[in-house]
Amino acid sequence: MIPDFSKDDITVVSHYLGKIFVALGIVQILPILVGFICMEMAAVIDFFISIITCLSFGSILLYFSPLPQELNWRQGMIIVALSWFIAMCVSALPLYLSGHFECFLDACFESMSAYATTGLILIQDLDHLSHAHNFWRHLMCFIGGQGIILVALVFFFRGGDALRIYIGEARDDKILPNSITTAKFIWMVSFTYLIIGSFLLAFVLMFHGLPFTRAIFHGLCIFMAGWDTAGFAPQSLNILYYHSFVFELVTIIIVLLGATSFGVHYAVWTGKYRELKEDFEVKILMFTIFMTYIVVLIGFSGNLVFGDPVSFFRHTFYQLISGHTGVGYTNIYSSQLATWPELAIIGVIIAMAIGGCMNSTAGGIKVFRLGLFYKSMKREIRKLSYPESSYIREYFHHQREISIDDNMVKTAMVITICYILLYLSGALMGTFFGYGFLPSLFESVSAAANVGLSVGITDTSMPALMKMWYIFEMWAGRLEFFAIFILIRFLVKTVKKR
Amino acid sequence: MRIIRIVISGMAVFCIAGWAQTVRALITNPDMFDEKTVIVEGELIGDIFKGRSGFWVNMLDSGMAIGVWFHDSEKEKIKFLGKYGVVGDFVRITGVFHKRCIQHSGDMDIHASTLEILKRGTEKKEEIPVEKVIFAFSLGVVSLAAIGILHLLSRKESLPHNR
Amino acid sequence: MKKRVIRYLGMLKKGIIGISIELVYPLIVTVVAFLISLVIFLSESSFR
Repeated sequence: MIPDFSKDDITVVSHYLGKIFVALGIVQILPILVGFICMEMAAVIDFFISIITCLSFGSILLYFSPLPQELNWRQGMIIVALSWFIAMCVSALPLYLSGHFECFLDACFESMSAYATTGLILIQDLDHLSHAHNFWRHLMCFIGGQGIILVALVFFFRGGDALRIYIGEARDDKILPNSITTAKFIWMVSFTYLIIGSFLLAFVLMFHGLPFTRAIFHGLCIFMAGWDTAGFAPQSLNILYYHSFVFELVTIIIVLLGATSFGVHYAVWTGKYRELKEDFEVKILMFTIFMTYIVVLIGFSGNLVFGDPVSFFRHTFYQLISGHTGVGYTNIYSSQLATWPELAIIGVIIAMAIGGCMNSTAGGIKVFRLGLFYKSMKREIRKLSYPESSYIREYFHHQREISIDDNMVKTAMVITICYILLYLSGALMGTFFGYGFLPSLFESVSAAANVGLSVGITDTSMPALMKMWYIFEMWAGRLEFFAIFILIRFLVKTVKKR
Repeated sequence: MRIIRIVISGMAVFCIAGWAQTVRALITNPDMFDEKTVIVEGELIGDIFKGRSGFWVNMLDSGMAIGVWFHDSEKEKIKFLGKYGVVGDFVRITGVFHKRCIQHSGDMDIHASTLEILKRGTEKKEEIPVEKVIFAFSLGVVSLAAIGILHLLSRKESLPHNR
Repeated sequence: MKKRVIRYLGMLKKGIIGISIELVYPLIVTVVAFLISLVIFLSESSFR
């Protein structure tokens, strides 16, 4: 018998949501600081309004739902799903107040795109946006990539409760025995690379003649969106703005590291260098990158529009790696991408659908699950070719030797099927609204796998229903479904009871 | 029939090339303008990126931007680059449009031959709408009051002798 | 706080080789990809 949702559930959930509200309010102090430094008072006021709103909602919730009991899994999941939704609405507020969005839905789209680390944008006149708002867009990417809960964890959550919520954010790879130390390690890696990466990027930009402050601002923004595979950029031209091959190379390094799992980072940082070569997830990632890249290249055969090998490589590989790691940075216009040969587009779609490593900041089905299918298929084949009485085991190396069991494969299968259905649903909706099937599929996969490459469908003139569906795709894709399903069940039950 | 079509489209391109193009038209129909001299007008935005014997500036027009490659000699002409609080120089550029520039490893760009400043940019004074300030202020007061009351209430509840 | 920073720096010192290896590995991937694209490009252009 499944226990019904009770009033206690609501109390606990709203208590933690109150905390999330307060945390989101506190985080917005950073863009306010940027606003003060750049003397952008209009932006400061926007953030002031937003902070006040967050804090007052937070304290009201905390007042009416005090004393939480121990959290259970179900409540944790609901908290995660709801807090992402709330974070979207609240964070869209300063964006909307900036006047760069046509409607509040567009601002919500942008903030969900940032939190889910997608990178599809609907902002208008980005090139004249204030530094404070621009910083906030990229900070949201960083927060969302690390996990909103992981950010709130910094302010207040106790050990046991933390794990239950943390897992809801699709981060179930326990690197270290407890979730707090894992969270600390993730922060450490991210901050170390934040410093290294931003300075590397800033250095390249200074080499191209940018003043120090401007270079640091761009470096920081590009790093925050690149490491967390979001793909926002401070200017409307995205990476094309910089006209620099070296800059693109540095971003490739950052996004590949971002798409590598924190487990591998941990191993390499603690001296197990061979892990980079032996970890089965990294192996499969490399394999799928090269395979999909070959598909893209073959797509261009007979239709070689590029004059020299460097531009051929630069334009094909950058979109591919950007799609595969789920970052969505691009060095061509979306209208150019739309004119790619179909096979090349399909190659990128496959790469996007697969995505990066588990427990990294990448989205999509994840190479881990792909590897699991490969191994289990191998096991099935071996099972059939051996005598019936023999017991076949199949191992893979992921920090340690792990034997495959049916449960693992089953869970992976369910999530994969959910992803495929989500991809297809968006494609169908796009086709329904009169876009071509392949572009619709591309855009839908891009949204659901949290990539952010676009062939031009994502635009302010897009039907509102499609915007909402893409928001849902990004949300569900980022949280890997279960949290959303439990939330939906909770809502349905609550409505039925009334 | 085919020849007539080619002639007509050739003439169209010739006529169009004489007039200022929107950047959007260039980007969405690159084949039509590839390797042809075009005239574009727009606002210079962002930053100057140094390169070998020249520099990049991006130009914004009709909601889309494109990279323009200039010779170093043009650098003095540019005074304002658009960003928050700054309207960049509004310029007319004559140059060759490349769909896939060989010199710049395949970028879509314009190599400018002349740069003409049509309207000098300005630094805008930041406008803060009064109603927004009033709203922010009143929101601040109301919520501070509310938070204060809630705080007092919760303290009262926790005191045992009030029960 | 000071203790934490020292512990962090100690960790960094140990991880410095790891970090440099991690920074190089994407470059290797890029170079291999470049070689693949070069092969395909050359074979394509020679077939024309």
